[in-house]
Amino acid sequence: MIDVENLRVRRGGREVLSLQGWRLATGEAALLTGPSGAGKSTLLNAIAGLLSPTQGRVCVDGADLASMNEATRDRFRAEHIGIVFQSARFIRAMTVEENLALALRLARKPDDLEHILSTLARLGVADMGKRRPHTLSVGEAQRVAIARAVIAQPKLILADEPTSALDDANAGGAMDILFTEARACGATLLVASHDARLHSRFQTRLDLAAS
Amino acid sequence: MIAVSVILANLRDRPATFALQAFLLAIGVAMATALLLFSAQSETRLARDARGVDLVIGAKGSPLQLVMSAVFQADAPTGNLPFETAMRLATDQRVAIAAPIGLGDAFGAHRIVGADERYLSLAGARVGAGRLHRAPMEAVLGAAAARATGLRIGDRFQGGHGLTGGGDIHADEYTVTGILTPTGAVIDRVIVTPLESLWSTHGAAAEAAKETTAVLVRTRTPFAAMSLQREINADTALVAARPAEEMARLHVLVATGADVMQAFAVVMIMAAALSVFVTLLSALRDRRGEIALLRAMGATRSSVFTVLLGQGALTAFFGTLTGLLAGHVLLEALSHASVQARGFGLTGWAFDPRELWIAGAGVGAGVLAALGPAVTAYRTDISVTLAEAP
Repeated sequence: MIDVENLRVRRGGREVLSLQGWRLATGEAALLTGPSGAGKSTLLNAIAGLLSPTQGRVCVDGADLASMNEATRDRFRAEHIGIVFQSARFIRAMTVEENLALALRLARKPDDLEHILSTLARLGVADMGKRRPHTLSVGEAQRVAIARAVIAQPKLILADEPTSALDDANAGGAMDILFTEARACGATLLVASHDARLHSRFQTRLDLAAS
Repeated sequence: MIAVSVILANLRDRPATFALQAFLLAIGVAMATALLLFSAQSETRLARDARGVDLVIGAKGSPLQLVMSAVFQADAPTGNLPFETAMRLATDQRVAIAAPIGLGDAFGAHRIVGADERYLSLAGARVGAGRLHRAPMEAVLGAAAARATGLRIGDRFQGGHGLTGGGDIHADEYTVTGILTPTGAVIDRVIVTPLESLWSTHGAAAEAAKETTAVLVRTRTPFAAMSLQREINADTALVAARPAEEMARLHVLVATGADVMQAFAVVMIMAAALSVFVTLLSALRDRRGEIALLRAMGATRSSVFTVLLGQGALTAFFGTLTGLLAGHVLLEALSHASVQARGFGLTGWAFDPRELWIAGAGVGAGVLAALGPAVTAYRTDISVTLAEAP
C-alpha cells in the first residue's frame, strides 16, 4: 500500500526527513515512532500528498503521488485517504453530521444520512449528530474525528498523534476503534505517535530516529 | 458543490456579521440608486414639461421663478401683467403660438390654470372625452388630475385660493366639461378653465383689471426666441425667460448637491467593501486550520479559494439587491411624503438601465474585497498550518 523510496524533505534549508526505503503492505497496521522533530508528521504529510518531497518517491496503492497534478492528488486523497489529527479539527460552523457529510461529498460518495448515523452509532457517539464540534468533550471529538476519517471507506488511514490529548480510557477506546474500523474497510493503518501506551498494540513499527 | 455548503454554514454561523456587511453595502447602493432615479426622472420630467415652450413672459422678478411657476407649476408666480400686453405680444411676427395663462387657485393639489386651447396645443394635449370649456366656470381636467380627484364630466367642484390647496374656498362652482388625453407632462396634473373664471372668482377688481400671470410662447425659430427675449428684457417692464436656459442654470446648482450625495454613496460602498475585507481576513486568521483541514480532506485549492470569494460575493449580492430595492422604496416613499415630489411625477416603480452599473459596482466591491483573503487561502501551505495547534 505504501512504498517509500529514497525520500528526502528539506524545509527552509534544513533536512527535516530522510528515509532510505520503507514499505507497508495492504491491510497492515504500523506505528511510526520517534522523538519530536524526527519527521513523523512530515512523513505522514508526504504520504498524504500534502507536501512534495525534495527528492525520492512516495507511492500509495501503486500510484506515485508526485506524478499527479495537484487537483488529481487532492481528489486521490479525498477518495482513498482518511486522516485523524492530534487534536480534533472540524469545520466549526457545521454540525457533526454536516462535517461527516462534507467528507463523503469530497470523496464523491453519496452523503447518505443513514450511513452517517450508523457510523456515529458504531463509534459510540450516536447522539452527537446535531451537535456542533466545539461542544463535544475531547474524547467524543476524537471519536467523531475518527468517524470522519473512515466514513468514506478509505484504503489508507493516517493518524497523527491520535491519542496524545486523551486519557488512558479514551486513548484505549480510540485505538480500539481505529483498529476495528481499519479492519472493517480493509484499510491500511499508519499511526504516528510518541505515546508509549501504543507500542504494545503494533507488530510493525518504524522508528524514524533509528533509520 | 463543497464550497456552497461551507459558505452557507459560515453565514448561518455568523448571521449578524453577514447582515451588518450587507446592510452597510445596502445603504450605499440605496443612496446611489435613489439619486440616479431621482435625477434621471426629474430630468426627463423637466425636459418633457418644457417641450414646446421657447419663451415665458411674466411680471418683473426672478426668471427661474417665472419658469418654475408658469411652465412646471412648481413655484409661486412672480406677479401679473395686463391681458392687453399679452395679446399685443401674440401679434409679433416671430411668435408662432402665445398662450396667456392665469394662476392663483387650486383644487386640492391640482392647480387651476386659466387658459384656452392655445395652452393645450403648446402642451400637446387634446380633449379626450367631453368637450373643451367654452364659458366661464367650465373646466377640463388633465388626465392625472381626473384620475386623482375622481371627478367626471358633469361633476361640479369649488376652487380654493392658493396654489397647494387649503386656501379660502371660492363660492362659485366649476363644472367639468371634458378630460384631456394623457401627455406624460405637467398639463396632466392641472385643471384648465377660461381666464374669465379666475377673474370672476376674484371679485370686481380682478374682473376689471383683466390680468394674466404669464404668457407661454412658441417662436417660429430658436433665433427668434433669443431676439424677442432681448427686446422684452431691454425695453419693457416685463421679464422674458427661456426654459432651456433656466434649466441649465438650475442644473448647475443642483449638480453640486448631487455630486456630494454621490460621493457619499461611493464612500458608503467602499466602507462596506472594507468591512467585508476585514471580516474575511480575520476569519481567514481564525480559520487557517479549517482551510488546511478542508485541503487535508481533499478539497482543491480552487475550492477553498471559492469558499472565501463566494462568501464575499454572496454578502455583496444580498447587500446590493437590498440596496437596489431600498433605493426604489426610498424614492416611492418620497413621492408619497411630498406633494411636490408626487406632482413632479417621481416614482419608485421605474427601472433605469444604469442601475445595472450600480449593481455591478456593489457586487464588484464585495468580490474585490474578498479577492485578497481568497488568494491567501489559495496559497496556504497545508503541511505548515497543520503543524500549528488548531
